[in-house]
Amino acid sequence: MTRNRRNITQSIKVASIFKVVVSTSILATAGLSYVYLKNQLHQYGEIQRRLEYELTEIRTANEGVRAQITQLSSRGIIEKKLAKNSLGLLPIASDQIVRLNQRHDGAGDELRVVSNRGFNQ
Amino acid sequence: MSWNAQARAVTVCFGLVGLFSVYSVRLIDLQVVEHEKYTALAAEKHNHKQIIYARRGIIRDAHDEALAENVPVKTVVADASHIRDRMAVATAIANQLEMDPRDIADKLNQIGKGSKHIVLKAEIPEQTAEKIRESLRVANLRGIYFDQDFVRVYPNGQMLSQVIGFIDHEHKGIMGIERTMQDFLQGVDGFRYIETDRTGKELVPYRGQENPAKDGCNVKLTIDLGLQNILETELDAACAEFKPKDATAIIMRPQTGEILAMASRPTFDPNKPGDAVPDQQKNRSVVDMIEPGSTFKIVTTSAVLEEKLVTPDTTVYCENGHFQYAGRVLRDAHPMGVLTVHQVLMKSSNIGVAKLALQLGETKLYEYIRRYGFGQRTGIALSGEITGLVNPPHRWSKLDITRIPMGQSVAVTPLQIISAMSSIANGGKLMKPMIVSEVTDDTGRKIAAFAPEMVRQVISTETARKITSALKDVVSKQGTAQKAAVPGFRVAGKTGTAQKVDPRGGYMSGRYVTSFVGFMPADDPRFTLLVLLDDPTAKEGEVYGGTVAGPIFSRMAEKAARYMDLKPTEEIPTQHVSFGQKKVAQSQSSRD
Repeated sequence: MTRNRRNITQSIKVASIFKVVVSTSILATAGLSYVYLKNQLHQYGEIQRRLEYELTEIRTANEGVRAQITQLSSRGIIEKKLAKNSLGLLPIASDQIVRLNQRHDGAGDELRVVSNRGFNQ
Repeated sequence: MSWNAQARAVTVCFGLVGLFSVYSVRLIDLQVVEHEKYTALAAEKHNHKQIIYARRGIIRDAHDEALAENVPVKTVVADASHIRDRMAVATAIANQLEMDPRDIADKLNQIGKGSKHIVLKAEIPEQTAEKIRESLRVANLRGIYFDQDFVRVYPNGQMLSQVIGFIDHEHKGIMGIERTMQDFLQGVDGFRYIETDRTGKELVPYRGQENPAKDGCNVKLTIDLGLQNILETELDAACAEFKPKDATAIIMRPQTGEILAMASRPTFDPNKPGDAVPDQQKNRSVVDMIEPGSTFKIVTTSAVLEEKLVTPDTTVYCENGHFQYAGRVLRDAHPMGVLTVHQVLMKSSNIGVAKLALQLGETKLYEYIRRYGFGQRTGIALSGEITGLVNPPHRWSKLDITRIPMGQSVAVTPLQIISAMSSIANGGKLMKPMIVSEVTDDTGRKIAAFAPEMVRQVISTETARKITSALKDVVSKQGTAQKAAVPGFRVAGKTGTAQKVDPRGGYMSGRYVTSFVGFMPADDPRFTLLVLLDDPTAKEGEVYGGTVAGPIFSRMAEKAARYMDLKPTEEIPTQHVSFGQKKVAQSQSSRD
């Protein structure tokens, strides 16, 4: 009787349950992590795509503005504006230019005392 | 369990097994048997090769002023697989595209017959693209995308147009620098394999192979836009005054062969190449050949001096303007008697130079013509350069030995003339004309640099000095080009007045190609300048190189000297001075 009772005793196998719970948790965590990381990957991919797009747009806009500046500051446009606004600028005649020759005698190359104040006292 | 219950259970089990077996078979069919087909289908729908466009290089002048730029634009593309309501999409974007909604709808309806993509409009500005995006966002529509593109713009319009050239719709250079430097300028497009979701949005984690674009290199020219502006303004004024059939002007740095400015008339706007006729697109400096006329006399004169057959003081009898040779009469513009070799060049005597050529002989004359670079391409980086026409002596007629020295029976390009004159200016060295100075990549790193290249020593420095001495006197009261003089500077140059060749044979009466080519300051040349007008209209008896091209040279050279800040070497005659200016001048002189 005692023997039979012992045989039919359905004790809780804690170790087995623990093993199942742990392995299931690991599997579940791995699965969820996989999904989470995959979502993260897509999210960062989306951010990367958006940033790349913005960067391209900025570069393109920059190029556009640069081309516009070049056009507006081009010689042809400036000449037209000059003619249109009639500033009345006239080139200086050749006989009205005074040219100053540079001195080549070496004078001025040596170090000179600019002021003696303070040295002679 | 009764039999019926057991039978029912078995039946259900078999049913389930059968059902799952069907699913399994279908799964195997999809995943294994039809795998390739569906993979290809998915790839076609979701995988794309995205082109990363390379930016075309910029063309700049010697001072980094942009001559050709890129303006970014968008190409509007519709994707059929993402459009549900075609009319709604057409209505949403019609305004911005300035198109009729029905035309857009018609275009959209064509999608699917050949390709699922269709280009609705090309070259729309960035701002318009942004407005279209906003309209679609507000209406919650999709299926319209934008491809990045660019249009080439030439900020200076007509200025330097024949030198720079233009590109076609495939961004390939058609002429000028755009064509010759195409390999450097074009860059290499990159690509990226991408995967998209059902809405067409890229799935970045599934990006495939990627190859970045390599932008085109920037090309720097030897052209100085300041000098170019002077040249073009004066050439326009000359064309308005003399109404020639066409005109050409070139400025070259004689010591290096660098082209500082180059212009031809008629001209065109490279921003609208379709509006131009081929005649306007010609860069006459390299694609036109003309009989050079008297400018060619420098060849014979320098040759006889170099060969030491004569000295500048050797005398030549010029037959009083009437020289019979090989049954034909050769005349001078004005009858002349005995002239020195120096005077033959100074007074541009046809008979004098013909007699010098007879003394030199056919073979030697031909040798010197070739040594000066006539009859061969200069090798400049411009498209369509021609060789000109110089026949070898065995094809000469008996008369040619007297006609070639005065620039008849030969055909040369304007660039060849200025190169020859530059070789006199620099002491006898023929320099290869250069127009590109360097090529850099988008980071500014030098890819190629072009150094001045001497082709050959044509004549000795001593001979060049003797010729220069005579050319200086050409621009004097005794010479043929007094009007080419520049106040404050000594100019050396040679006039040319060639009768126009009649395509039917012979020469046209009263129609000329007038030219002047010279350098300045004569004793330390900073530039060589050529002015050439084909068939100018002027008073009878005034159509000469000295009277037509000479004054144009003078105006151009004076402005060029001012621009280059050349110090005058001669006294400047006082010109018209206004009252206020006179006071300044007087006070200045009192200080001196």
